[in-house]
Amino acid sequence: MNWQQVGKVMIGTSLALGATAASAQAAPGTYPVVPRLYNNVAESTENYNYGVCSTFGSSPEALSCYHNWGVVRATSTQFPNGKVLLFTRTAGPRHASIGTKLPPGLNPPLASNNNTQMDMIRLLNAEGIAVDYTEDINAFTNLNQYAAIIFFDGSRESMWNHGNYVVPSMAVSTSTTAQLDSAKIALRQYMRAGGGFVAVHNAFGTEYNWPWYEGLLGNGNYFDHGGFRNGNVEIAAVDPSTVNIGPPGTEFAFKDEWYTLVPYPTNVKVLANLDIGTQTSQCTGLPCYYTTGNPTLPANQTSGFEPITWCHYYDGGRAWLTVLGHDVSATSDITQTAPTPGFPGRPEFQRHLVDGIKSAMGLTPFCT
Amino acid sequence: MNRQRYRQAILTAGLALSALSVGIQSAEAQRGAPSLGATNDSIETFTYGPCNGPSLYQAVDGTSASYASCYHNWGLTYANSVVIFSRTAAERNGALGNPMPTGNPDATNVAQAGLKRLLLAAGVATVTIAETTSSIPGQGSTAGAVVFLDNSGDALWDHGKSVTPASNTVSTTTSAFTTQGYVNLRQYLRQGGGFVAIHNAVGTERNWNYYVGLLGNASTYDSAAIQPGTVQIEASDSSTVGVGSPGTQFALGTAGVGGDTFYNLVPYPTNVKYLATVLEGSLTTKKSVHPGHGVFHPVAWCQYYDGGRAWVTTLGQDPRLWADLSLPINQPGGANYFPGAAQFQSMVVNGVLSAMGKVPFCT
Repeated sequence: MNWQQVGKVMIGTSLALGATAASAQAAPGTYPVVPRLYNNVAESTENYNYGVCSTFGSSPEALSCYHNWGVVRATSTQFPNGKVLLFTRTAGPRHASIGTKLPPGLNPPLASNNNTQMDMIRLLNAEGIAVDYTEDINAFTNLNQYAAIIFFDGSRESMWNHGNYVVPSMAVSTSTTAQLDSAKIALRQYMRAGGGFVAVHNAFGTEYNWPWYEGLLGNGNYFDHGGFRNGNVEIAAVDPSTVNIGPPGTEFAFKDEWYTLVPYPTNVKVLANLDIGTQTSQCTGLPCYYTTGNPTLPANQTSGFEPITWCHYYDGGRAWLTVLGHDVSATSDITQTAPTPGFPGRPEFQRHLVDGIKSAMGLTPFCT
Repeated sequence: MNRQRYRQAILTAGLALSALSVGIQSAEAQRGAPSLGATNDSIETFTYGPCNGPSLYQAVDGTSASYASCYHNWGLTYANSVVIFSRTAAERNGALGNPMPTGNPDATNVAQAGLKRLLLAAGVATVTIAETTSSIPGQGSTAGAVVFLDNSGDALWDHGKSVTPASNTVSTTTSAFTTQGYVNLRQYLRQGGGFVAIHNAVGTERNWNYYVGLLGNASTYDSAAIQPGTVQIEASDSSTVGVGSPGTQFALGTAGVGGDTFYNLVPYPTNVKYLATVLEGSLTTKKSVHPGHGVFHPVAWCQYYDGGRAWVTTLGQDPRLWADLSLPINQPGGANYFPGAAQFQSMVVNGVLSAMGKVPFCT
């Protein structure tokens, strides 16, 4: 099967008639008119276009996607390396690792089961980085003080101000209190001012119906996952967020759900993959297309890969994204026994995550 | 991975103008593709992101392209079943009758009951009717296809949840999730599902770009009065073969009795396989605000989209289009005979079967 596809590239902002491809066409198939799987992979890798720039690397063209406006971020004597905002609001399924929903406001008291929040504060404070945190959409403001915003889990329409639905007077209100989507605009404008964005785990599976956000995720979005299972992370590229783990080909054991993705991430720098052959069990979700390939083939496929971490510049800012981080153990204190017995790879994953955050903050080179 | 890519740069505006003039000449030489004609359609290819197009696309400039690889062939097994989704969140076409909270049609639900009867007769084993957003097939659904029948407004929105008090302001569980219907449809298509839009489904969710793309980069702009018209088949396809070969014409409706609204479309459908048009010369009134599409006014088309199959028609306004043609009263010469009902039913049924993959799709 010829997998050539016609992508569409917009030049500038002008919309104009484009002639369709004049060459390299596949002949119409015979029934059933479905394409053969290519290389046992069944994702369409058309280049989605979200209307804003998306680049990676160090070329002038790539770097021109970054808006170097010289925005001054907050620092302090105690935390000289700046400050980040950790956002864990859910508007749908909620991961156990982030615990009970937080009270309103910025930096409310944490409960003993808000493990991920406490872990991230500990990990980043140790790097000289301050952490604000919230699950209150009304506190998603004043963002330019942060060198990065971290979406750790969360779910569905987490950027929506549901509370404003219920005030009938807002039908004719002309005040800003009627606005339902102020957080979306705040995130967009933050990125355009050269901000940093980090998505962890179920930050995929969030805001499916907001195309700009799907583009921010690297033209990749959660489709589903198989079981919580062991597998090896394989470093795929030299990068400030991988250099402290090892060169490409370096592997470390980990345990996660290894999300499958539609759309398949495009136009990004892939930093790490799941080495499919190292899984201790096969993907059991739907469709498990990366791990089992063509379902008519034996399920014990032992080769191939699946992207799990990547980065790109997007709409003026930096975005570093990983689908890993399902289990509470992933960010847990490595000087203590893991909450999930035998959970592997904590030092490597945490190094990867923290270095990724630092690159998105601009503390190191980014997505080179 | 050795995935070759072929990218096409959109031409600059100046080049586009010359390409348009070429397109006009080509379209005059052959039907089966639109042209600007004497009307005001912009036929730029809107970009909604997902892969979209038919198995074989014939462009106005004579070139062609295949988009069959847009289909996600994940090897899933689908049931011989169809979900008819007929929720309205704004205007409600008379053919739909009373709201159907339980999914059981009464005598007023002519369109839903008629489509269900036709699909069962065509060999579909299970047909369910739903008017709640939670009934839209989603990830993991084995439904063979979902038919969006004459919806309106923001029909996929879970309005009921928007009145949940302020507990939804802060983090919650799924009780705050008002867009489950949107996610369901998206994920169902991505796993290779089948989608059919009938009549005002083309004028639904106009502010959801993904859905406009799913409709073939098309959306209802407006319509003129209900009136009879002459429909012409434009392409050989599983969904048109029951009516006739390209060029076959049939009358839909009777003056003074009924017909259709022959929606004008903005955006104008692009990168789709055009299946049928209405001859605007046969229409008494062509427009309200939109000036009409001139020589090529599409009324049915198909395409792959974001991994799934989509078959679309703007026809279906009149409840008599759903009449039981086994009854003599509905046959030619019968008191309730409605011209075009047989052809409409043939196209819709075969369109659904093709979206299910039971017959070749959008070849």
